[in-house]
Amino acid sequence: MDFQRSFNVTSRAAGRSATRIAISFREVGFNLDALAMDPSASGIQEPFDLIRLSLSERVFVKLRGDREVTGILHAYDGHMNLILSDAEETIMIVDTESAPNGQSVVNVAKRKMDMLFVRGDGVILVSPPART
Amino acid sequence: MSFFGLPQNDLEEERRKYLEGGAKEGDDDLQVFTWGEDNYDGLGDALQEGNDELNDETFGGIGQVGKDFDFSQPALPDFDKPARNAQDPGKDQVAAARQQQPQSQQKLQSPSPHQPLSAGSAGTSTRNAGQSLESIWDDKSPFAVLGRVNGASSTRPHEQQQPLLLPHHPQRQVLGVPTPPPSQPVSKFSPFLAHESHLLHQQHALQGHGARPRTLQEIEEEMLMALQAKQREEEEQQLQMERLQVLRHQQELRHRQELQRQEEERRLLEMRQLQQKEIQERLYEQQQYQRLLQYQQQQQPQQQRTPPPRMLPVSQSPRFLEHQRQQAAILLQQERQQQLLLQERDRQQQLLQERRQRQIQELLEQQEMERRMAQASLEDKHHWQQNEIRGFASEHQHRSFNTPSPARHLQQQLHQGRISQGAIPHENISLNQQQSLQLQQRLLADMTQNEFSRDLHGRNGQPIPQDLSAEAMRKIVEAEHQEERRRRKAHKIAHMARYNDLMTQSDKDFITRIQVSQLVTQDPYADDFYAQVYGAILRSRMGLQAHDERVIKFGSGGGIGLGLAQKGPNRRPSAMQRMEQQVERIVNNARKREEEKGLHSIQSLQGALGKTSGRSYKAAPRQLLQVESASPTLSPAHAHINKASVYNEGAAKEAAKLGLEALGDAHQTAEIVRRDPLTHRETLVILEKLYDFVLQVEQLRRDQPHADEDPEDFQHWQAEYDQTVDRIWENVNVLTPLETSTPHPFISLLFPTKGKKLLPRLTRHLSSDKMLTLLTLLVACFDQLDVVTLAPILDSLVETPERAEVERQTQAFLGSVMQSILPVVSVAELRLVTGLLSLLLHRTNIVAVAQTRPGLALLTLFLSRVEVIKQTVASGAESAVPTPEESQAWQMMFDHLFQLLAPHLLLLFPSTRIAHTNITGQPPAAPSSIDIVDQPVWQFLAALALHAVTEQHQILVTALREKVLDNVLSVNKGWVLDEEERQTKLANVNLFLHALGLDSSQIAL
Repeated sequence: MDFQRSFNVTSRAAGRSATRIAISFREVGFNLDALAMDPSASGIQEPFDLIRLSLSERVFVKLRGDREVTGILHAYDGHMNLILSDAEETIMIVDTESAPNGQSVVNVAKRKMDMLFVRGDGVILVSPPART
Repeated sequence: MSFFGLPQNDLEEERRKYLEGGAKEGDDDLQVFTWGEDNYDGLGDALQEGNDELNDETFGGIGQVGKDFDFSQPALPDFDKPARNAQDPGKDQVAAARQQQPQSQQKLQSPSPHQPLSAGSAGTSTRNAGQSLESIWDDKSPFAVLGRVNGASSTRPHEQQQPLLLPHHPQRQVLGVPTPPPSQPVSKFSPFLAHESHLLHQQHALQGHGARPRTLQEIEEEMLMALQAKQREEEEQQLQMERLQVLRHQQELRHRQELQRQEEERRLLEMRQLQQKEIQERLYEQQQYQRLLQYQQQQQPQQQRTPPPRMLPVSQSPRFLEHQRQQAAILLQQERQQQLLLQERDRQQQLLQERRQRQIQELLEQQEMERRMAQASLEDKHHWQQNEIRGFASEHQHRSFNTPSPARHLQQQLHQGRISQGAIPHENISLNQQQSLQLQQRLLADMTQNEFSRDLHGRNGQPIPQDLSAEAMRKIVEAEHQEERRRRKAHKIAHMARYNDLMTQSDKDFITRIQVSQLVTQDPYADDFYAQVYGAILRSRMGLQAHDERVIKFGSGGGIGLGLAQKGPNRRPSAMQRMEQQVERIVNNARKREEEKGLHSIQSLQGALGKTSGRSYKAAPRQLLQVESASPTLSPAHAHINKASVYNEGAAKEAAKLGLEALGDAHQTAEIVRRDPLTHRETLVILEKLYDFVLQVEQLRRDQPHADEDPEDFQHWQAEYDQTVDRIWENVNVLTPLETSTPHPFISLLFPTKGKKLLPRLTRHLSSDKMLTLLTLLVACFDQLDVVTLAPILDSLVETPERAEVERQTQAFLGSVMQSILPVVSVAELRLVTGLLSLLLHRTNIVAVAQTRPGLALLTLFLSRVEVIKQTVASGAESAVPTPEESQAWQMMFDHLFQLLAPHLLLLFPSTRIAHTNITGQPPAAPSSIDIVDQPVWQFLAALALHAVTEQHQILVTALREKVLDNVLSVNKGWVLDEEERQTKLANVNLFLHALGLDSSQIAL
């Protein structure tokens, strides 16, 4: 329990520092506040703020190389390096050779990890999981 | 002397004259004459160079080179300068009186090697120097002769030269070609010529002074001459000085070498004095170190004498010296190695020789004994031989200093006890001793050869030397090994120590400063966050004080985060302390500098010449569009775009609602505007905002100033703190009316895990009445909580992501939210608890709530609090005793609760519910886990039983009898194999039974 709490604490700090170092996308001229329902209430100023919302939440991460990961986001940085706990990785393996009539077969491999560091250069998208 | 004879003569004489030293003063005319020769070319130079130190230096340097060459001649070694010095003045006078020195006299005086420093040379410098300088002075510049008149009026005798010299002057000038002065016989050093010239001079002098007036040219030349002479004198003097210095230096060096040699010899002698092998070795070792030490000691004073490094020129910096010293040490070592090698060879040779000699000796002895010749003569012969051998051996030993020789060893063994073998100080003594030893041996032989010839063979013969030599060999090898090891070690040490003290303390400090400056940050706590938090956890685990923060703070922001405190005493702590001290010093200095800057208000000048951009344009591309998203006022160009996006449908609806609300407020009606519950996203946004505030508050807490120290500061801080807490309170949405939405915004905030986890961190800063409000709201909306609504998912043993998620949320709720309200409830009065319970009973479906873990936990919490209150009342504690009405109200409320729950008591157990839902009879994954999840229920029932009256007890027992019996039976009948499970089951049952005043052991089966 103690560890859990402290871990949460650290992840908070990580989020904070990440926002501090993040590149400000305001310069691109994209007004993200427009996306928010309540402009005055949200402190969203850059894409990373959106990711920040998902801290300590389960996220879906799409990665290069036909990989997907879901896990609870604990920390991220300006490179989109992520730390996920309770993560499940899904790897799509497209097998074109063994298929009979030119059709490729997609094999799905899954694996679980308690804690995962995702290197930012492989991240394509980060999103909250679909809610019902 | 003839013209052609001059060259050889010249050299010879030059040297002689130079060596003569003091005698030169006498050759006044001669010198004058020489200069007169030079006069032509040196005219202009002389004038220009008068009193020019730089030139003097230059020429002096050139002169010195020549002299050095001269000095390396055989005259060098003798060093009896002082005596000469003393003699010089007198000689000078004599010479002056005589005005000329015969060659014979010069020869007599020639051994004198050194020029006197002060005496005659000052008056009229040596011709030698002039000669050596000739190349410089000669023929360099034809126009130099054109001469200038300078103010120096001279009535010196030099002017007498003029007439004689004049004729050459025009010649050279006309020719314009540098002609070497040696071609002029006059310039040479022949004494005869000098004599002649002198005579001439005298004549001229008479003429010049007495009869005819001199021409301007003459006067000019006179003056020039005088100047040149003077200058040359000076140079000469300087040269001599330098020469002397060089000499002295050399002498010193030689002296030191001599000393060293002596010392070495002395050391060798010392070594020879030692006789026993072991002692020898040890001593040798010591001496080697000693020698090194001595060498270092010799060096040390020098080093100490050297000025601080900053004041030295580069080449003489201490590291240079150090390096030299090291190299010298290495050289010394190498030398020693060579010596050792030589020694070794000697030793081996000696061994061989000795063995051979022994063999010969033995042969002789045998022969002797076989023939039985006349004993005395034979013995004599034999001992003569032995003597010889001994002598040789000892000689050998002494030559190769103190090698462990088998012969000596033998001697020692043979004569052990007869002669004391202590350390014998000198060779002589040892020789004497050997002689006496031989004498004794002879006596021994005399005695023994008659009677125990065989025995003698045995003792003097082969066996002993062989053993001994083998032994000696072994020891030698051993010693060699040791020596080798020692040498390697010493070399390694020397190698490592090569760079010792290369850096001064200030250098080290400088580097530390650079390193430390990298560590200084504005917010040491946040920048070193992980380490700090981890450190805090570790410290709390180790039981250290939590407030002992490992952060050095520097006044207004900035500081250094220190690592964790070191465990156990090692040498790191002291290093840490040193570092801390250094850092403190550095920071203090920096602060002082800052203050000084402030005093001089340099900052006011900052930016006066324009600002430099602190930002690298490589990192941030140029900004094309400047959209200020934060400001609501938009430029008209973009207004329509943003309008379209901002005021979409949802926003419009929201705006309408807000308007309605405002309208409602305006109408002062109590009507509550219902709103849609917060979306997940909104919740997250608010939570992130809350986290920001919480972190801010936590930071403020850490920065809390002491109220006593700085009241104003504290007030300021307090205001800021309160403001932030207020903002938190606002965002928590606790004060939003209950009916605004379902779920209530506050409950929505508790949906995400991070919301649950945030609560304890947040409530720490809230006042108790705020906390009460929060608690009330939480209780009132308890069935809106996700952990309550989704609790049924947990009543399945099938592992699904949803179940895992709910499990996670439930754990988070119990761990965080319940923990945060615990302190409030644990001090609540009975009235409050009653109120909360009634709220819970009225506003929520208590049966459903009681079937969830959080609900049970809450109920248990209330019941146990009341139990505690009852106990304190019973024990007569002075704390607020609840009024009878309050007690009655509580009892009523409890009865109500009991009444509501009684029909569903069995359903409270997750195990029962699992059994109900899991009709297929799928066995639970982990049997004991059921008992564990049942535990809170047993706990709750126990709490219930405590408050229940007798009838209620009966109801309880009747309802739970089956469950209890089931558990007890399964334990007693041995159906449960796992010891742990059995324990859990029994503990669970007993938990309840004890509340009733029973025990599981009382149950009869």
